[in-house]
Amino acid sequence: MQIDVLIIPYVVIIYSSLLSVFMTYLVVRERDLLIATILTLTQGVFYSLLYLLLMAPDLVLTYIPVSVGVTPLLLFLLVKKTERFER
Amino acid sequence: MNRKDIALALSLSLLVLALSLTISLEGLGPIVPRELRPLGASFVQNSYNPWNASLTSLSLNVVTAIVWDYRGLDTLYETLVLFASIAATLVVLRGYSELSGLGIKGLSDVSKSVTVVIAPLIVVYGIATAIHGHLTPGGGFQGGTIAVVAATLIIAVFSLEYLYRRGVSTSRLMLLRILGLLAIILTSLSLASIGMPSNVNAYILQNMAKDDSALSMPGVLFDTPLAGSIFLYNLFEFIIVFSGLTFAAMMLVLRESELESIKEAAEVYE
Repeated sequence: MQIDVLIIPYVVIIYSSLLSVFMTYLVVRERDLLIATILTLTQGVFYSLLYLLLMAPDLVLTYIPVSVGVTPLLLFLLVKKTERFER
Repeated sequence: MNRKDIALALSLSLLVLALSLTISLEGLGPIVPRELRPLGASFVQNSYNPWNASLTSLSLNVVTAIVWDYRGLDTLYETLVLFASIAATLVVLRGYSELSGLGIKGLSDVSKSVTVVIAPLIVVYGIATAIHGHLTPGGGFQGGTIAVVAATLIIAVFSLEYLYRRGVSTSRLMLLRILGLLAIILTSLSLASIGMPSNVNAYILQNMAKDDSALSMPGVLFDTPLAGSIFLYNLFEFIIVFSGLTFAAMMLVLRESELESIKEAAEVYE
């Protein structure tokens, strides 16, 4: 059986979009805000993979530093200034 | 080991497999539209086309050509929106004062020495992305956000005190930001202001020569395509985004004793 190689990006797109939805659910459910921030980061990784596969390299270059670099760092600082656990 | 761990391990290993397959097959997925719509076709044909001098922008990257040349006014307004949002953080925290000498804490020596090596590399990569915006994917905004990661890392690892000692203060960053915005506005007005005294037709936000106006930004530097004003816009946008977002990050990590005078300032305004 011959597998068409061109179908792999589509499979990866479906897989990473499903996983990003699952990650969003985990972020909403998580009570520990530090872990929730790290889960937001992984969701950002999935989104940047989607942008890369959908041929938008300019968006990838903006999205990776914002979602993996700046936002988690700022959220970490925010968690440090307030409380770690949601009540 | 329960069922949850197994599911997690399986999904992670599948993701790694999918990533490695995608990367080894092509850099980018082959999801390209086979037929272009007329608008897309005209952008692709004209963005780098020296033989059609009245419509080209001499930029090899079509996205940057659209963002800074064909739809330049939109991007100018986006820059102004970012400016307004940073000004809003300044309004909320008005009356703050910068106090140095509160002591450096920072993280451990390991993370400090790693940051010393990584931060300059991130900044250089950001600058390269910004000033190559007309040749490769990227541009001023992308380069600026990449460089801001280095600034945020330094704030998180070395503390705010380190930046004060290096001479980086919020007022200086705001000044840099305003200068960058002024430079963008002056660049957009430059050809019109050259053409007006000598009675030559020229337009605001003009890049290359048009049918009824012979004035043009420099298209080529030695043997590298420069894309005229697009290069300058990318450079100034890099400065604006870098200084603006670093300013916002510094405002968000201000210490408690620096924010004491906020209440008095708010009462004065009321």
